Amino acid sequence: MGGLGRARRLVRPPFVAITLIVAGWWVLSLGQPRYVLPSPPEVLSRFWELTVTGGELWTALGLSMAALLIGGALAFAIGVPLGILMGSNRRVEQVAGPYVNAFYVSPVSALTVLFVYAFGIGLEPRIATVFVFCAPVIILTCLRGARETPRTMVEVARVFGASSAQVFLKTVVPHSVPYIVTATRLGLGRAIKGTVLAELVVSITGLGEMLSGFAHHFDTASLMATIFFLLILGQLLTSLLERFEVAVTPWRQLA
Amino acid sequence: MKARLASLAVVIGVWWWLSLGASSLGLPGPVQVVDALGRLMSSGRLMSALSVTLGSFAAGGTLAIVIGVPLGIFMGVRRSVGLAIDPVLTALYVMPFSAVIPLFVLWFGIDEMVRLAFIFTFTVPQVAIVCYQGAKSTPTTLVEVAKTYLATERQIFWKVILPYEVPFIFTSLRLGVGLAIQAMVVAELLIQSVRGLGFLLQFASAAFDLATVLGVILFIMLLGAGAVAVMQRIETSVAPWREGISADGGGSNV
Amino acid sequence: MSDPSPKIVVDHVTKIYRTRKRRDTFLGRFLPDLRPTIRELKAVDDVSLEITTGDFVAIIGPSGCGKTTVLRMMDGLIFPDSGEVRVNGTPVLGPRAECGFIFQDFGLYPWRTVIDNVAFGPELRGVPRNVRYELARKHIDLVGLKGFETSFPHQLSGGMQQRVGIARMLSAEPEIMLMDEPFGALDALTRRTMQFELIRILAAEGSATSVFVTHDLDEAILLADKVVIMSARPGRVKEIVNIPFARSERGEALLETSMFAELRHHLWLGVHAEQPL
Ligand SMILES: Nc1ncnc2c1ncn2[C@@H]1O[C@H](COP(=O)(O)OP(=O)(O)OP(=O)(O)O)[C@@H](O)[C@H]1O
Ligand SMILES: [Mg+2]
Repeated sequence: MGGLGRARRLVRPPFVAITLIVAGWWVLSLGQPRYVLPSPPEVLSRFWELTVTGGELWTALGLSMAALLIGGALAFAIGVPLGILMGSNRRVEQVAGPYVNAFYVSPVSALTVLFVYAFGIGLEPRIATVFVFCAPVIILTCLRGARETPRTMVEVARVFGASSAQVFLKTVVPHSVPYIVTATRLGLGRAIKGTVLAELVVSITGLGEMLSGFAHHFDTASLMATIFFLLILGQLLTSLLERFEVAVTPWRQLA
Repeated sequence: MKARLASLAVVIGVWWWLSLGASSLGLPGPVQVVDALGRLMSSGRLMSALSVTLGSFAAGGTLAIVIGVPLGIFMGVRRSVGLAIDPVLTALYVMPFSAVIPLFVLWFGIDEMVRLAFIFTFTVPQVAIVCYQGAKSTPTTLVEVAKTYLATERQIFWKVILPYEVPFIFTSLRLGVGLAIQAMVVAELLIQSVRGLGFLLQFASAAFDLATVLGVILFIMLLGAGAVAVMQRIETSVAPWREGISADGGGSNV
Repeated sequence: MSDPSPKIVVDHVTKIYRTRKRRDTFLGRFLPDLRPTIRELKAVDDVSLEITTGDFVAIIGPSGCGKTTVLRMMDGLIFPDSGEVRVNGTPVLGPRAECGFIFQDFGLYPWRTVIDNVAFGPELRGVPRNVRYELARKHIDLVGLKGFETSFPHQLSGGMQQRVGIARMLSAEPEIMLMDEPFGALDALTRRTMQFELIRILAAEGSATSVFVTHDLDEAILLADKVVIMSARPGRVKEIVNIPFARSERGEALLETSMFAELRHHLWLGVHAEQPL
């Protein structure tokens, strides 16, 4: 207990895992040409250049932001009301539910081809891609929030003489708030994924341009640095939003 | 049911009307799309493309399940292994995965191998995470009961942890199949090929044959939704005792 | 059977729970935990008890005073920080075959049918299927669940589920039965029925030694020969009350006697004084 416990406290298991992965990668990279597998320090130094000294990645991220934010905001603006409506009205759910579900589980990335057809290769097809990526998850999460409003909460409001509109505004909507926050987090995660895919398939700009450019020039170190950038970005945003989620809805126990 | 059929009719009707009225868009109607799909099918091109694409899907997906399920269970049983790997898997799970395609192409070329590798790495985190959470959440009482009957570690694993894990495994299979299909489509879109569904799409697209493009897209999406629906059926029908145990990692991923 | 030597000895036992607060942020999981915050909670303080063969002992006390902790140490599910628990004269180093345990939340395996749940103990010992099924059927009959052998737990009511729990314990043929609020999760009416049932079942099984934890004073008096009152946390033994009723007297009629009322009042004063608000 004592010795092992202390060791585990000082060297945490995830740290061990990362160390092992990096060590394995380093060993593998020794026998490989640089364009196949660069060593960890090479990737790290490229990462440093791309984010700090040069900062190209931030510029690229800025270019990507437009599609991400517009598509995400559209999905939020449509998804939240639609989801709550579907969750509180059976009719609407029956009509719209199957389509939303189908979009949720099916490979929506196939639609990008269609978007190129419809909108060309500018900003619009990327916005559309982001939208179809994140709208379903936002709708379905908000739907759950509205539908899972406990009957007793609704009935208490009725007993106090609330009108249907009041029941909706005072019980269903507040009950959905934590779900809306969760929906934002899940939606943002999907939006990033949609953005990157769109930048690779639809129109080559922003981070997607970086990725394909580096691949084209066999600059594997930069390519890997960009991938790590995305990995860290995704993780950072997710854990930040998880924090935010807990902070804004202190009454909630579980998602 | 009635409402659903009615809404389907409305959707198809609007589509039809759009294809007739707004001809400037060049939007083909439902009949043309079905017709194009029919031609693809009868000429055998759809099936041959599908078999190529589904081959990598089956291989990558199976590999992800064969490795992901035991990995997740092992993580749940050996807590420090779970603590060690969980953040790595989670980070992989939340990152925009299509970004690794250029790298994978550098490593694996543009043949079957790269699709298999992509589908595998894309699917494994989710499968393992769901199985990990299942094994980790085995109620302590159930383990303690076995201990009071002097169960060995091995008996606890086979008679408590593993049976408890079963619904989680099926959930991980459903999510895994969904993800593998999404990965398959992303791979088709991003990796140059001369055979699979992606090639079919590009070919039709280059020929401005929108009816075929639409047909193939609809076909792919229905295929994905259908596969997930089938898995869901299997998931809810398995294990008559599963009432009271719910397992859902939820969500899909790209 | 009339061996006067103590069956269970709890010898100056102290138990301290230590919980460590972990940083569960993403980065925190990678960083070393240099100054971990450890919370110590003394659950049980210097408790001594002797339980003789054939005794039926109830433990009562305010919530969180360490009743469960004491019981779990008797079964070797957890271990004391100082002091010692001995069963049949030897220190408890882990769960043993002599002891059976009943959990408040039943602890039935949802994927096993009633008969497979009941036959679980013998199954682990490698008893062949027909033998253990026979043993299980006997106990299923005893607890009044004949006909439900192939049901799954979720198809049974709470009272029936705990009957399965009791049958499962009896199938392992323990000398000592440890029960942690066995009827705590049941409604009042079912609970009363189950109490009389337990009296009947234990009479049919011969005189095993039993220790049970309860919050129900009536239950303690109705079932036990001795009631141990524990003080609020950290738990100590405050008083041991002898219940002078013979086994044969224990039934519904007893509930109406003035003796019973007096005992209940006495226990209530004892626990109430400890109950924190
Ligand atoms: N595993 C544990 N880790 C940390 N603290 C614990 C643990 N188990 C119990 N405790 C604490 O020890 C104290 C005694 O717990 P115990 O469960 O023995 O009480 P109890 O008398 O059975 O209470 P109740 O009547 O509510 O069942 C409580 O304050 C509880 O919070
Ligand atoms: Mg307790």
